[in-house]
Amino acid sequence: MWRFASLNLITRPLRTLLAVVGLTIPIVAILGLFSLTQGIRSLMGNTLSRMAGLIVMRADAPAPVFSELPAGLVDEIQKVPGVRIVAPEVWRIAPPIEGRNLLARAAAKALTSRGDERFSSFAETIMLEGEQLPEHLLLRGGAFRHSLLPPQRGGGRYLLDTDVGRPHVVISTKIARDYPNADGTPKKVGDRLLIGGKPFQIVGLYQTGSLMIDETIVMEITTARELLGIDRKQVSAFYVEPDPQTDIDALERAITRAVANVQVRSMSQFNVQVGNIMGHLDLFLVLTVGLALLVGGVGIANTMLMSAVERTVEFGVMRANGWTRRNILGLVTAESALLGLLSGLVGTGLAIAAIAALNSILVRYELRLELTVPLVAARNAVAIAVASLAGLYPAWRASRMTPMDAIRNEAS
Amino acid sequence: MGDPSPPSGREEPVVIRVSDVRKAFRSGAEEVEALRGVSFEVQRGTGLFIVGPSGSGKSTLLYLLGALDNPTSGTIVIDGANITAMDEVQGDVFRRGKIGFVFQQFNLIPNLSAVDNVLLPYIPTGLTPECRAKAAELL
Repeated sequence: MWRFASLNLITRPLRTLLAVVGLTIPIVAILGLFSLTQGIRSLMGNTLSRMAGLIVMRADAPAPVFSELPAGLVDEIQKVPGVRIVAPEVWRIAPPIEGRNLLARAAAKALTSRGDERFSSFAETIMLEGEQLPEHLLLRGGAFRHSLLPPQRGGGRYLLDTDVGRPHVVISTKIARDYPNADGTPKKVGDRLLIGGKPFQIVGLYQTGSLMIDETIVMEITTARELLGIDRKQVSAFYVEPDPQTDIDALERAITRAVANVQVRSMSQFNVQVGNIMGHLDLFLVLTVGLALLVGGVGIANTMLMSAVERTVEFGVMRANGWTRRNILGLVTAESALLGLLSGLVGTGLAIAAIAALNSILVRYELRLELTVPLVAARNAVAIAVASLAGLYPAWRASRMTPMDAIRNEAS
Repeated sequence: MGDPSPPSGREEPVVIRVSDVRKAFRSGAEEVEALRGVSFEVQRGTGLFIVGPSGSGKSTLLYLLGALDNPTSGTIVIDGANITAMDEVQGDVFRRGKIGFVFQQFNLIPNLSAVDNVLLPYIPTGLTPECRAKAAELL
């Protein structure tokens, strides 16, 4: 039966090709879009899971780089029950690095570039963080410290108490690549990096693998204040690490109550927000792709209906030769299911090729589209199911043919 | 109507027995009788020609003998099986095993080889190498 069904598709190549193309497009779209959201989700998840604590910043600031708070708040926050460590930090968009004005360069590139180059200009905006020591060294979390490359890979060391007031920085391997030495080699530990026209010595290299974090230069807080012209009584934000048994949401509410004019954001909150956004995005994708699938299914239904009408005599002959209605139904449904399987295989092949090509471009943004086996399997199952469902009505129509139809059509 | 299943055991000399078969068609308010009480027997191993003018009911009789249609009344017994008592699926299975059709235009299935066209009735039940060998031999 399956061999006969395959023959019926092979002997009508153009019709089969058109039906397959109709269903392949939504399959490629589904695999591509879902692998993108999967990639974004793991990128965000990786990033946020590294920061288990709370960020305290000015009430109306959208992000730490736009926040200013009195450094003295550290005592108030420390008094809140459940707080283990309060680590003051300053955040700013970095001044020109190696003589390159980042914002001006980003704006100029955005105006003059095309496609991914335009996008890359903003993705390359470097942040500068000044960490107060030794508080940051006592944190159990700490995205940069725990992502330092091992010594054998030239990771160097993290900031120490002895770095207070000294021009020492820890940078990401991405920044080291993006701002190479004069001979084109990436910066390494011991090399100098010009930040805001001042020379800094690189003491450590980190790599979190996260688009969000790997754009940060880390230095000691007094060095950062001096470089950025920030008053020593001022910070951007406080990173608060809770006691192990403390409920993070309760601590967040307690700090908001105890300290005036601040907002407290937990990384879990970000995670939930990101999860919600991705959930909505997935729903949107399902609806959009559902429509595309519907169109593909209608294409298959149309193909099979035409085929059933054209083969009236053929089905009548089969019925006259002892094929039951159920046999005819099975044959046409098998043809539809094979169209779905073929679409799934072609779509998967195209999606794998497209995603591999995209990943080779996106690698510089640390973003990777993820095509998982369950996603491919589920998608192919959906393709077969949609095609089979779409073929049901034509199959039913075909099964209604009577042996007499063959004889009447033959006579006409 | 009697039991549709054929009797087991030895073959009867009469292979087709048609008894008082009537077939009427409704055309609007009018009922047209295509067959009026046809009865005859065909002995095993013999051939039969049905001859008559156009509209005399030859095709209608053939449809009934081929288990493609049911008579208004009367019985048809083929090889011991009362085909007028069969439901649709029983009729399908009976045709698969006992009836062969040669259409005026042949109506071969173009996607199938000559052997597979011979084997068409058995495609749904699965084709064995023995089936194929028998079909090739018949060709």
